[in-house]
Amino acid sequence: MSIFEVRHQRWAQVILQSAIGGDRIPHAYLFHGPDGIGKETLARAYAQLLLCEKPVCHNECSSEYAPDGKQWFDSCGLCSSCRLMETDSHPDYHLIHRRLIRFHDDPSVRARKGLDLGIDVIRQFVLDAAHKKPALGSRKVFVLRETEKLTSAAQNALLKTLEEPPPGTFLILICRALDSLLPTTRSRCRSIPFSPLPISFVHETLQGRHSDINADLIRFAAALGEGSLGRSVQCLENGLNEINRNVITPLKDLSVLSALEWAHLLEDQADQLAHRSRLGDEEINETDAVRQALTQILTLVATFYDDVLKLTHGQQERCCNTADLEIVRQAGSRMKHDWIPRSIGWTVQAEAQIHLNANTTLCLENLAMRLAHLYAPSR
Amino acid sequence: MKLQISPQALVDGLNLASGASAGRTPKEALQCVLMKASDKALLLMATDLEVGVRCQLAQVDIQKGGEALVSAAKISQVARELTDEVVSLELRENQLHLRGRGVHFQMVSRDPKEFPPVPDLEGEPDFEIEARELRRMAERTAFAAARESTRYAIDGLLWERKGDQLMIVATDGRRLAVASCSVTPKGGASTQKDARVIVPAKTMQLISRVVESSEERLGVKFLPNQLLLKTEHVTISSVLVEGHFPKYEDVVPQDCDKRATVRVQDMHHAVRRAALMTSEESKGVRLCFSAGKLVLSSRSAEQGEASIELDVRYEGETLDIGFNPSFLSDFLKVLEEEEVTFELKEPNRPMVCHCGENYTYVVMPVNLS
Repeated sequence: MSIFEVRHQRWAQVILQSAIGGDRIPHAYLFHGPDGIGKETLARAYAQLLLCEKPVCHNECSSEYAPDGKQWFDSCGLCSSCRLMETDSHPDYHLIHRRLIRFHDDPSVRARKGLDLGIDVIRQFVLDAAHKKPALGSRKVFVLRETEKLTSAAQNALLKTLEEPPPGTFLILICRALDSLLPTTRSRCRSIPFSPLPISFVHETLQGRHSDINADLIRFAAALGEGSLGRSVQCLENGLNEINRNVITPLKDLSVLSALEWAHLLEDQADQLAHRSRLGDEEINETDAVRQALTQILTLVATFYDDVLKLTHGQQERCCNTADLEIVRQAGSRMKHDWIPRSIGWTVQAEAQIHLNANTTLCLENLAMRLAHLYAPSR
Repeated sequence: MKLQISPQALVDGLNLASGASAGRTPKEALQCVLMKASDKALLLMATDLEVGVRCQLAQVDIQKGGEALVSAAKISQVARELTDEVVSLELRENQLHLRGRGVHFQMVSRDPKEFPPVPDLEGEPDFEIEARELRRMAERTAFAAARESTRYAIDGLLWERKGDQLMIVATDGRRLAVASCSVTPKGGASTQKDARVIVPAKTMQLISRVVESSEERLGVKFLPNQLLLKTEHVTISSVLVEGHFPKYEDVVPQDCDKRATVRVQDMHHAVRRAALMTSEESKGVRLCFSAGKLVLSSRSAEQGEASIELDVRYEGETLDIGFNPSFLSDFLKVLEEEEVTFELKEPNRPMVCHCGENYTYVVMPVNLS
């Protein structure tokens, strides 16, 4: 694929292009940013460019990546190397992920669960492979997915290769947040930040891909993704809109009496969502799946109160829950306006507490009780 | 693709080719064998991206050319079960139909484009070597290569070509094996007389397997990234290991002043017996050389002691030296010769073993005190 097919990541493209055009290409990159915004897609396109036999040089390209006097490089898409990349069979392109543990030579390693990206996978699939000469050209590229899941031992094993890889070896580490890696790993890579995509772009892309889905749903998914195409797609696939309706309907009037019931509903919905995501990825452990599901559900809650806030300030067109505006309006009419921002703060706080291993039920009940106090008592 | 072939020829070809196909891989195409029928022959190709095999089958009646990519394990199993003299293979709409008398197998063929290229030896090879000789050298060195060392270069075997000599060298830091033989230079070498490449241990195993029965000569070509070997029908390609192989010449001591000659069979037997009385803690076997006599002794606190005496041609001062017995028996095991010569200097200096002119083995002693 052409490197310019990756959209709205101008900053990353500029850094990569100036490296390609320069004398020395950094041998280790760290692409960081939220999920689903094109980090891996760009890593793959960049790998194709590095491996391409006859890279082409554009003086003009799409307006988004206007050259401003610079030359922009792209893979040719025609040479044998590019064709191998298209069919996903290039011998010098190595995609490393935690599921490779299933293909490890050692049966005792294969028997383990690939919950993190461990040292065995790194040794066999990165270090051993990096110390072989490239099969086709003079370069080989390793793209490491989900490096926030790298264990410390694996990172330490990688250090030497990251600092001084064998000739012609390039490594691209993809991670969600920089601080999930050891400082020693970070300092050996050129880090490139990726920013969320414009919501309008996500919306257009979803519309293009799912012309059969109704417009409200697509708007909701695009808005909820907060600029992450991947998350929006996941939202559509996991049926998050149904869960959203279940979660927010009681919020039109939360009383101290109904609060606990609502907290338990949240837990139920999180279990369901976790179950769905575990069906798609059996390597994920139960705690992680439930936590991820709770994060998604608390995001729905925060988004709901965000909509309440927007609606009370007359910004109806910027709301996410366009299909359920009536619920938002009812909640807005029952809450004291100055207090609405607190609800968002408390929701975020609850999410953080859950990630810090607090008791989930207590956290959710606490949140529900606090939220209930924001509603005016019904007469 | 449409052709007729004898199942036996197909099985033989698949056996050679599937040696290179990947056992476990996330890329399913690598578990397959690519069958390419052209006007003259059927070409089988398999690779795991580290080694590749191209095997040409000539005794085929090809009616229509084409390519099919099918699971290597499955088609081998199927071909082995066929009893007919001739079977027909036909590719129709991504299905490979294999028909014999009263038998019909239909196998899914993947898109041949998914299969990575398997290099062929083009033009003249650098030199030619007798297959038997290469196999012998591989056998005599491969055991000494390091396993899973972080010094990746010594996980492989060094192939060094000097004029009309080829040396294969393996070391794990505690022992070193050097085997050499003469080769016949060919046209491809005109630009580069001397060359060295490091070949992965896995390739050496594959070479041993492919040239097992072969009495022919192998053409060898060193490329910057590849090693290529070619017999009449089979081409093996291998990626090379990156890095610097230690200077092995410096490791072979030149100043040994004591020589002992011993019969290989007797020595191997004695080492095996002495090794019985060693344990995890005391792995060493003591070798005590004196005029006309060699005594091997071992001792372990939990098990007991052993002492084995054998005749040896040795002149010089008495010398006590310890070795890891498996390092000795690995070496003695591969020898076909009658006698082996040990050269020594001091108990803390390596021992050099010579067997014939073309094989040298150096082993470090262990401290027994």
